[in-house]
Amino acid sequence: MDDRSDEILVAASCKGDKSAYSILAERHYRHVFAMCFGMLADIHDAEDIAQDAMLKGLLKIAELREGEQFGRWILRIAANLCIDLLRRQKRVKLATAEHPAQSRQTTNDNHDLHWAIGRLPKELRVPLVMYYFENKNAKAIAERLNISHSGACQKIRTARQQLHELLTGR
Amino acid sequence: MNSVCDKMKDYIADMVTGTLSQENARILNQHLSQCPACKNYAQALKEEDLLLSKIFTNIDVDMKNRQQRVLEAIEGCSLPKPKNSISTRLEPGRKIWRIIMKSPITKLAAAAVIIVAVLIGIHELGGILYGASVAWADVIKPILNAQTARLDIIIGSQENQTVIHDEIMGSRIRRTVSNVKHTDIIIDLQQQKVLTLDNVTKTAVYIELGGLDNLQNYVELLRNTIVRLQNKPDFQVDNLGLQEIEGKDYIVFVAESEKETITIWADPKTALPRRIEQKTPNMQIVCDNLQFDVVLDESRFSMEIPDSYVIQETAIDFQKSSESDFIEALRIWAEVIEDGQFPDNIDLGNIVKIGPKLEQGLKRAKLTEQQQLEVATRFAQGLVFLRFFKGEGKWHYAGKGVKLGEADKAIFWYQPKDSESYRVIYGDLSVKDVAPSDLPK
Repeated sequence: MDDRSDEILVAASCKGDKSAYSILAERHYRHVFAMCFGMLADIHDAEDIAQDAMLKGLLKIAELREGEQFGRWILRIAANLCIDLLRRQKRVKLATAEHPAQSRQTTNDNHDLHWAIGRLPKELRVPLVMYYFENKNAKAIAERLNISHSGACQKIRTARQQLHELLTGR
Repeated sequence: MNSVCDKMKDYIADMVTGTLSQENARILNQHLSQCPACKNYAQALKEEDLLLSKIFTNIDVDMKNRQQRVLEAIEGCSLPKPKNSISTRLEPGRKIWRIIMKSPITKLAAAAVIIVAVLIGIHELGGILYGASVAWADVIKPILNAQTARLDIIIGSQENQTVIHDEIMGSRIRRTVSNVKHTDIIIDLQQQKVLTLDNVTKTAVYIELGGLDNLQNYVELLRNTIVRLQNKPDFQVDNLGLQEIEGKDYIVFVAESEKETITIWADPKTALPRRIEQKTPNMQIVCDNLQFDVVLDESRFSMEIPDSYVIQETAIDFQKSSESDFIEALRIWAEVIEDGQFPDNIDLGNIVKIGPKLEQGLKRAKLTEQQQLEVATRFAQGLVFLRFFKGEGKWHYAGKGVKLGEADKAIFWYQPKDSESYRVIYGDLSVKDVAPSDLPK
């Protein structure tokens, strides 16, 4: 476990030290993946975009002004890539007009939950997903998403309530 | 279920997510012991929580492999040539400067407010042109046939004017605002979306505009209004002869109705309009340096965000602004923008000048970028309330010199549709119903 700070690792990465960037990637990958999964509600898309974000971060690292902000910076890159993907997907759906009505899979509880998570608005899904990936630490979510602690709690609460409503069809 | 149960549902969700305070936990437990419905709800949420935890644990199982694949991809990726360390890493002194100059969102937040104000103003002012005569028809012909246009819009009095420069191509507008530097605004009227780009800090804000049906650009508004009104029997236009603008003579036409005046300055030889001025009791909009059918580069109207820009998103609904949204806008105006005092006036001319003040206010408030955008969005959403008056002047603002909290001073009153009494908003932002005879003088 490398205990060098993000700031030091960013500085080393800027000088071309790829191993330093790898440590940053390892350290932050989990959060980036959680953000992508929250935005996209699809594991495979989230894997692809999280990887793209990490590679884009590597190429753009010299543009990062404050090394200690790497965590937020890489999350923003990931969020932007997710938005781009969602926009492209939306365009494809509009262009082909073959988007079938979203049908609910009810084979078991997990399918139901996956379905319900996918139906949540992404503003609620992102904090909810990150909450479960972050050992249920709302404060950490607030910091990562750059929102207040109470704002994060509120979003998680609303997400849970809406999820229940989706699951019970109310 | 009753309102207590609704509140308890919030507590239950907080309990399940571990964010409920001890005091509220005690209240909740007491309630659960008496309410089977809430008890069932709590049980269901707990079970769902277990399932959610299980799902995310399952997804988590493969995390190491995912991480490994990313590390391999990084390993296989060739790095750009490292730059000189001085140019890529900031010196301590410069870093402080950068931090001070950061907060790019303030500028974009300010731009968002101006865009909304202009959309409200232009949208509501559309529909006030009256006129047709032979010469008039020649003057309006370019407006009727234009495919593209370039123009400057000036709102309010001529002093300290804020100039909005528009390039129009179909349903898209590329806009710059003189008091919001280095920022481009691209508006897609068809998709009802606004993209704001800060080209220095490489930051972008997408604004979704809801509730504005058939949103038209300025030229379309003029065109449709002219077509609609040309058949009006009482229509009259006065030709005021020639007037000079910047050393060149223009023929001037004035079309008037009870509440509005339209003046057009046109080239006497080509009949091309150079300037159009619209006046209503609450607003004055001047459209200057008009050019029609200019050649414009389509790529300048792209809604795609350039690579490497940081993106924020927000939304403003033009149908949903309520009195309480408006009161919130007044509170932000006094608290954040004017340092504790209500503005001298709240007309559109004042709103479009607000950019620099709003930027400074948001910086002073030491908010996060997300919070800044939220405040600006709430402010803009509240201002939308004014559009429901349709520029007919059925409201009165008297906040000049009033400080936030002064409960005895009325700052704004209006008569809701079909209501006999007025709603009066006071300096402490309280609201009362007041009979017309008791309105402040």
